[in-house]
Amino acid sequence: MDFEEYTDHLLAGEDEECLAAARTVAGDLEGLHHLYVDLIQPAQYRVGELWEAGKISVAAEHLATATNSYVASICYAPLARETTGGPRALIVCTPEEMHELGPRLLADLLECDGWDVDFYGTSMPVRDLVGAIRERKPRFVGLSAALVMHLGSVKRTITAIRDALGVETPPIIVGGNAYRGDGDLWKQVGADFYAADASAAVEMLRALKE
Amino acid sequence: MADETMDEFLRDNHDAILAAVQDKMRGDATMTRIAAQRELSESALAGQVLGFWLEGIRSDMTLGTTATMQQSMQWFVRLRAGHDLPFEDGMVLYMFDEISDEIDARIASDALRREYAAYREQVAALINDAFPQ
Repeated sequence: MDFEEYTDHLLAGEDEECLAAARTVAGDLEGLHHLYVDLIQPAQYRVGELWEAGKISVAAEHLATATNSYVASICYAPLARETTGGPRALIVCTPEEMHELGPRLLADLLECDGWDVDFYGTSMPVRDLVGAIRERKPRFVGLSAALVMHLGSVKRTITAIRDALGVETPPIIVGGNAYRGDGDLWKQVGADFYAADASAAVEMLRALKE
Repeated sequence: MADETMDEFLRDNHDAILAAVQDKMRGDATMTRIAAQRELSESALAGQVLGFWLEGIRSDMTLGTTATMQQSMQWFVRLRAGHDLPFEDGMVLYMFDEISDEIDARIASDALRREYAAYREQVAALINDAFPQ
């Protein structure tokens, strides 16, 4: 099933069809990457475009996102592994950002890759984020932003982390829909790395596992 | 104050700027029309729209770019078409000018005023491209 057909099922509220399609794909780790990057991510982008175009309601958009989250959690569960003792990763949305599906998918794939992931979701105050980094000592920090208007907040967050932790600051990787329109925006927020999707991030971050 | 950045200025003056512009635009016919279409009160709509503008301007000033406004203009064009939003081309520049006048009136330092003036000119050009007068 391609992502357009998958999106049609999402928008029709056919969660069982979505799950069945996802299960045929995500039988192993490679399949889970395929599900997340080639079905769920483009379907989410398509849903956003359809809302912009006035073709679907906010209710349909929210239902699609919730269904994707449900499908991902069911398909991820059998592949989840014990990661205690693995290198720690910290994944969080930038403070004002409310879209958490993308970084949640990244957290799943990192766990499957042996990372011990702390996923903090949305609405994390900067001061508490700095405290969490100091206490949990992650190998890297992943900051997600879906809306371009939140990129100023990403830069302020990165600056606050660097000001507070100095040379102890772990590498910071950014990603999310906010960066899709301009290939250089990630440099302007002061990040060390950028990845266009969760699979690319997992691949890139392997260098930090050693 | 000499070292204040535009980012800090906008953070510290956000509520006052929003309230002042909201006050100036109260009763605006376009805002009233859009509010009725979206089934919102006029003040709720104004708060949302002006909050969006101010967040975008602050994001740009923090990054030192016009990237947010550039993408937002394209987004406004798509959103107006997709949702049949009843506003004229001139409304976008009018709102930006109202906000910018209020920002300009509150800036205390010449350096920041110059910085904002340069940004304002660039964004006005983006708006004119997206919504030709």
